Amino acid sequence: MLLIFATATLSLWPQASPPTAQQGPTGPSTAPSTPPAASPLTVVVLDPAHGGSDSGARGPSGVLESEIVLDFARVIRIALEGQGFRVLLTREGNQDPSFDDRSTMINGISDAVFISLHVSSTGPVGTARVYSYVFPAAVPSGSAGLTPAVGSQLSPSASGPRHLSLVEWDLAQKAFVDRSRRLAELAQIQLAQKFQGSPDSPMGAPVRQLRTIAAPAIAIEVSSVAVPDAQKLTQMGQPLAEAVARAVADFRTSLRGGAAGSGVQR
Amino acid sequence: MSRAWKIGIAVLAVFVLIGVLSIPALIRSVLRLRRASATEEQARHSIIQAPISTPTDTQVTAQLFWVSTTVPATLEPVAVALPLSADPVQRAKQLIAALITQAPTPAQSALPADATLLQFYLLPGGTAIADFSDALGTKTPSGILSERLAVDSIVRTLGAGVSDVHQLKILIHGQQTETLAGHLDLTGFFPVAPPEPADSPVVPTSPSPAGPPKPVPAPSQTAPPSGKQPLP
Repeated sequence: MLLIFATATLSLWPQASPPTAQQGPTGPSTAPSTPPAASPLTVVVLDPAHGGSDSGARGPSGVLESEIVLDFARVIRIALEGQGFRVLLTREGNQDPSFDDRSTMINGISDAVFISLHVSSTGPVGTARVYSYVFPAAVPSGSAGLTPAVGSQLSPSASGPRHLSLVEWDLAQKAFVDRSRRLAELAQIQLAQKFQGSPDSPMGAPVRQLRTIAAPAIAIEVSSVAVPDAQKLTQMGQPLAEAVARAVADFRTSLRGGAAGSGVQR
Repeated sequence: MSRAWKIGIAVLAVFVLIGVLSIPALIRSVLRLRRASATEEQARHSIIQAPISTPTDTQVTAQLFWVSTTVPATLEPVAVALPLSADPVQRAKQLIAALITQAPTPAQSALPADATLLQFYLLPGGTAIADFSDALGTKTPSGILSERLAVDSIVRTLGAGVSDVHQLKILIHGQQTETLAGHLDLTGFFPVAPPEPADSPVVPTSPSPAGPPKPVPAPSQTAPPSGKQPLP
């Protein structure tokens, strides 16, 4: 089933914003030509993957990915809140929201980033890798029905309002791949400093959860559940939180620079 | 002691004796069953994944991509001499079967040993559809890295060995699945391309006294039928 949702574009953004002090209590009668440069990023949605009956990766010593990533998310939330971000978690306990439920949490927010947290089954213990979504090849003609055609972003109806555009739910990430890649680079830089042996640059991978996110989105995977003791993983929580908070703060700074310079805005 | 008690004790003694005598046979049966406890997937594996042989088979030095023993969490090509068909569909089946069953060590295989390729289709234009058994989804270790390695090993092996394949769709038991093992998106097509120059150096399957791996020449149609090919 193809789900479509409408998202506000640049021309709507100022109208959707709460009135500012400069605008006065009633707001301006006409929208400003450029969006305000202040704080283009205020919300971080943290996604502890799996949960419920889906425990994710399971280590030989009984370490469960779903439990570790929830612990990570709680520590990262504190670090991000310390940077002034509002933080939402896709799950607060042992629930298992669907991919789309998790996407729904962020797709209605216009100034957020999404960070999905994972622990791998394999890989060098004590390292962390960052992934951003890469779209596989386009569907060839004649194979339609297997998967939605990549790149078929729906255009707004000619008769519809000019300030609304329709985004194909299944391809929501497509408009954000560059910004996601930038966020991934910043995160990987920080993680490489905290966790020796981690790669210096992020990877592209079609991680399912990221595909339906209409915002900059990355997945961070820590290695691995193969540790003999869960303590080894939980000790990674604090440096992981510091790295993520720093990376998101750097990303916010880069957005501010971009917004001020070119008017780029979510 | 009454006669009834004596009879009861005698009957119990007979049962105990029968039990003691039957224990070794029971143990043997349990051990036999354990040895024969091949899963349904394994049984299917042995039937379906029989060696694929075609009249056009010729010995070719193929590149199969397995998990590197030197660089963690990466794949590296290994030169393997295989009888490969001229028919691209059969050739792809032979390569994937070898990829699953001929890994130098179990740890180097990015694909679960129980997985089987149920069917392989090649559409005009180079779109391939590989239909794997359930084990590909259920036995691949959960995780972005491990799932990525699994798909990459298939894609890169096909890219190096079957020039007719340009993109690949992976099905599990005939069905499109959302993810491989909870992470990697299987709803799209994976681009399949010939290996880049960086993929060319092929490591031998066992430590070679001849020094570091050297680039392998272009795949030869006349490679000796010596299985995994050590480099000079």
